Amino acid sequence: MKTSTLLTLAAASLFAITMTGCKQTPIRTTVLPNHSDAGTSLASKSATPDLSTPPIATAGATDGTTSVAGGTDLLKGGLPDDSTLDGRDTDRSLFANETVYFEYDHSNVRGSEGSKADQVAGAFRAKGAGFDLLIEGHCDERGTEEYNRSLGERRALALRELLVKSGVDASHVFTRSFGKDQPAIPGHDEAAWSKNRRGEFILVLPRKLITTQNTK
Amino acid sequence: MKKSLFLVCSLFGFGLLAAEDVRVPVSVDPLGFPPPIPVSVAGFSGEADSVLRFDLSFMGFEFVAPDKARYNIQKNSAAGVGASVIDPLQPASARMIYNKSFTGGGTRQQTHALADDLAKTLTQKPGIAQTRIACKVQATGIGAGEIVIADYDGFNPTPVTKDNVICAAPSWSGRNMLFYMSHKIAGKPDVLSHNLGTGARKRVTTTTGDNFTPAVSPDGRRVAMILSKSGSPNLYVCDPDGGNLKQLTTTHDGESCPAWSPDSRTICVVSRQSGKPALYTIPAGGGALTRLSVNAPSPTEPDWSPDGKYLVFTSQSGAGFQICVTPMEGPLRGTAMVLVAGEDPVWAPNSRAVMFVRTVNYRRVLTLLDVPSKQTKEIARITGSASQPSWAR
Repeated sequence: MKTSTLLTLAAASLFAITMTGCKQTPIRTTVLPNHSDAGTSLASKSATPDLSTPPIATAGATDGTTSVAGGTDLLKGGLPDDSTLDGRDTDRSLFANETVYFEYDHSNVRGSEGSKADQVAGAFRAKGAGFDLLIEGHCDERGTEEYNRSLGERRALALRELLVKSGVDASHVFTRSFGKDQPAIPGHDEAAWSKNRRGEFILVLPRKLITTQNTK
Repeated sequence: MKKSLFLVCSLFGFGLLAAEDVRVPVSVDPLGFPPPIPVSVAGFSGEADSVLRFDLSFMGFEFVAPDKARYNIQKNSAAGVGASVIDPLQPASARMIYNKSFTGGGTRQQTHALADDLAKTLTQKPGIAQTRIACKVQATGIGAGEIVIADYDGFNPTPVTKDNVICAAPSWSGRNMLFYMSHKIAGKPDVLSHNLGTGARKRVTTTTGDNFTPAVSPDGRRVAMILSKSGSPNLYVCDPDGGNLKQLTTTHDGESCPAWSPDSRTICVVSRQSGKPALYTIPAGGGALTRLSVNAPSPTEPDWSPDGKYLVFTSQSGAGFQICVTPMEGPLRGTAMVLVAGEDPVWAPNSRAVMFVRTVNYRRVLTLLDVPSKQTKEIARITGSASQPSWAR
């Protein structure tokens, strides 16, 4: 204890001697801005600004993609225009029993699960005009976030291929990935994981007819 | 060869303590990182002391007694937060090599400015104490996620979105613009740009299918992202306004997690074209995928260091994630070295510190890592489950 105290004092003395022996350099002072420009500095903020704004403008993106040769599979044929789904009601219960489950880190549909897609295809074809089908792809919590977002989309696309092969018009089948953001079952074991690696079929109902009354 | 390297790597960071002359540290790090510079810090107290020590510990410094220090950092007498630096190896008349102070703002801001200036002066590397990060924050780790920006140490968290939908994968363009994926428009994942100065948001992608994981090139001129419009989630690049869209890959099993080289000419991406996830590189202007072999299972989430020397990535074994690093040049290119348990790594502007995500009781916490020493500190200021850090460089 005493030894360490002496050593500390000695070190402090040595440092003080070193400092005293130094030629002093004038202090240069930099005055920092008091308020943060949101883009350039980190001044402490008295109030938290709200940077979010609801309106979203379209930035001129076009679909004039330059594609490398051989890029498009005719069966997949490119995906239909998602904007046709905007504002339409959905029925998530109709095909709830046909949810397809996948193996870990795979997007190929097992034979035992493929029959569910056949049932969905048959029921959907019988619905007639005006309906669409949305397939949601999901993953379990294992796997990194953006890898799983891609994996979820591959699962949804694999089911879409099965439906198209079963005679469903490709222009009526849409896909969406939620990665591991929306598990069906909370939990951190295989019992939960096996139910979260899934593809769900959601029926998109025809757009409601809007009747207008003549108020004359 | 690689086994013996792992053995050496497991020892680095400890070997420095045995060095006889700590004032002239010699690198024994197989990755080639310079060893931490031993400094003494004296005269500071309270917030200034804690902030300065926190900042310097992720910019290549370690704290020792004054007589063991390469430099003696001493609070000076000026207003605000300031310090003088003594170099004991210089002649007495020239030992004071630095004497500056910072006023204005608050103590925390002044101390960050001092720490950055000290780092720049003593390591010739850019400081990170005044930089910002963006991340995804979820209330419980699932469901809706919002984009939040904060100081690099987690202070001053500021929500960028309040959309109550899934927003993810933020990527900085400069220090004033963010790109991220959002389900805001009709529930469909699209890439948005968000000007933090004006609040203006624009939809970058209008293509059919899912559009996600934007990564802005370091020169700010192109955006890499994953689109499924052709029937598989493939890699595309476009201008920041969405124009000049170009498809770079056409694999059936798809790609994910694009990351740019610092010269903006090459993209590292995860592809499953071999049947399982692996790292590949591809010219940003188009060309073939080239396998980047790393001796680590299921590599994803690559991030290229700003100096171009290293790649950090997440390796997965079972349900566990590990942060790995590999040199991108020299004979050790592709040799993976495990750093710590975690995922989502991103390099700091100084190519030395890394921010990653550690899962604690199923909650994700942003954590800082000094790569050579493997020293970590959690950033607990951001409430909720925080992931996918992106560092404004």
